[in-house]
Amino acid sequence: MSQKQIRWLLGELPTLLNEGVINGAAADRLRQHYESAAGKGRNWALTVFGILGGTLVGLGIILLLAHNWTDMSRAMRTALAFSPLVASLLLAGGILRSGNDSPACREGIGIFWMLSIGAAIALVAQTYHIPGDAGRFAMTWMLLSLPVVYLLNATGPALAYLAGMTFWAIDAQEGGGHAILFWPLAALVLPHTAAAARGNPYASRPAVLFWGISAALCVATGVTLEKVLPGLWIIIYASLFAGLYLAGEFWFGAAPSFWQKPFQTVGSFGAVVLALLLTYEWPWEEIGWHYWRHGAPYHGLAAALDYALAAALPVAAIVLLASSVRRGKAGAIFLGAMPILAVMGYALAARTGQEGGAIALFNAFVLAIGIERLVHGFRARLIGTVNAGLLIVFALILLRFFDADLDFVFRGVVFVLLGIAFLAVNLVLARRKGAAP
Amino acid sequence: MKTKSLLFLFAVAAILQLVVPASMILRRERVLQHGQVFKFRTAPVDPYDAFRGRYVALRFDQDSAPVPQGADFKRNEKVYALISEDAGGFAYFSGIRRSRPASEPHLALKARHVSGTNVYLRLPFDRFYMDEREAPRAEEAYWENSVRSNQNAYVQVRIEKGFGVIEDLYIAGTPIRDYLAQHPPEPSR
Repeated sequence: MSQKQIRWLLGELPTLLNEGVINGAAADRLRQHYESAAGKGRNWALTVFGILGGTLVGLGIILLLAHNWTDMSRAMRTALAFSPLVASLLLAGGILRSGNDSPACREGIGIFWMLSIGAAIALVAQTYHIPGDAGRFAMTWMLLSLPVVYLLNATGPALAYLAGMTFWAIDAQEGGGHAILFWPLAALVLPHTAAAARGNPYASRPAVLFWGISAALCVATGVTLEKVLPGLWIIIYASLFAGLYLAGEFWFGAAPSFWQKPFQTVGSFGAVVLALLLTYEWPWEEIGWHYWRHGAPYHGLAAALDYALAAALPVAAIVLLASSVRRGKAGAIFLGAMPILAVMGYALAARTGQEGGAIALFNAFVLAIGIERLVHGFRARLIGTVNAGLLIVFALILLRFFDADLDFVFRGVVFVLLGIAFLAVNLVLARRKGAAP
Repeated sequence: MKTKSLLFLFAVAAILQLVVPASMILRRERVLQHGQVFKFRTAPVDPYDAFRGRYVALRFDQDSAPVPQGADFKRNEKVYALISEDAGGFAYFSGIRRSRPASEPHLALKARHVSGTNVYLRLPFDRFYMDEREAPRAEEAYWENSVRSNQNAYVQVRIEKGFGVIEDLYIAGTPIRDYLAQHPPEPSR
């Protein structure tokens, strides 16, 4: 329930009491219940301000140090490098000793602490002209910062850690290093996530963490792929998105809002965008075992991860799909079928060297998803779902028109008709909703 | 009890966070005090790092070492480059070893790529950090001072046991900060 609705309800209570709809005890219980909910909202705002404050002070200090005060001796610069770090250690130690439980305090100091670690290493690097190895800098910084997450039970630093590790993976893969290390290192935030989600997995803290994890998964999967077998990414990403969507529906299906459904949102959005890409020729060109890549920049061990992912992700997605269907969620079969189609398309394109079959498969797939959403939206009277379905169908037709040689009049007429369909469906649904008791 | 163990873990984390930058400092201070001095010719250019501020990027004249024909060095392989001085007193790499040389001055670094009888090296110094107002002027000063026949910028490096630390950047034989102080910027029109 939003703050506005809560305020409205609390304002209604005297009237309801006067008119005898509820008794005094019930009014008190309602007031207590919703006032604590309003208080939670304020706490969250305080936490956000705490994070912003910590971030600004930390970044400000980094900028001040980056000015490079050349007049200072090396000893003075060393003292300067350590002072923010020592300050944040004192603050954090104080919090731990006092047992202060305010999330605003912990998050704010957590971020400041993390930034002061970065500032200390950066200033030492500046003083001694240490080579600009950004990846190594990020790695040292993140590893030293990980205890902040657990000591202060702070989510902001956990997200920053994930972002920093993702940055390291990108840098390492570009330099021909072993970005595969990303996975065990990133997994170090999982205990924090599990602890945050215990109790209420739909609260703000786990929701933010799940968004961060979904985003890191999508980026890091692509980064750590060795791309030895061309086109394998199609199967891996199709399974990743479908798996994210299915896992979200399976474990967090009761989420009340879009904001609390990071896995479903990232998974379904990614799946649709990928499926639209796969209606083009280029992803299917020159893929499969005829085009194996060799050479110094490809690591055998890291390539093994490609194969492991290409095997494990579709299997995991299909197991989740089967469980969802057994639970009576037949709707999941549409997006959930994507890994199977990706494997079929891949085998087809790799065996025959022709892209046509795979392209036709994915055109049909996108159309099916769009229509399924439309039908489901109509049945359940969900305007959002209907619009999503229309958008998918619309995107598909739009793309086809830009790469097909159809004349302008034909295209124009279809666009107008599609637009009218869009409006008409909304009108019909809005009327039905209005007519419903 | 819970607070106690938490405080213990906190102490461990705090010590680590202090020790890592401190050890970075100590290692370099030792080399700056005891290391042997070498001069590397360079061409400074002026970029920017969000965390560490402005610096002068160093481009070295000498970034490769000769190897016997057919020597099989791999990309990113750890090597030891032997350092000698030319007639002008500037350092150059005179050879490559796979194991640490006993007495000759050397740098421990990584091979970048191999081309014929030369191994190109990833030098462990690529930046000289400066005051944000001085860094662009340093680059300018270098280009004003450097014609093809007269490339007179170099970094002075101290090296000990294969580990090098930059001491200063010189333009026309003067430390860069002194040089900039002697040549104040012209008042802007």
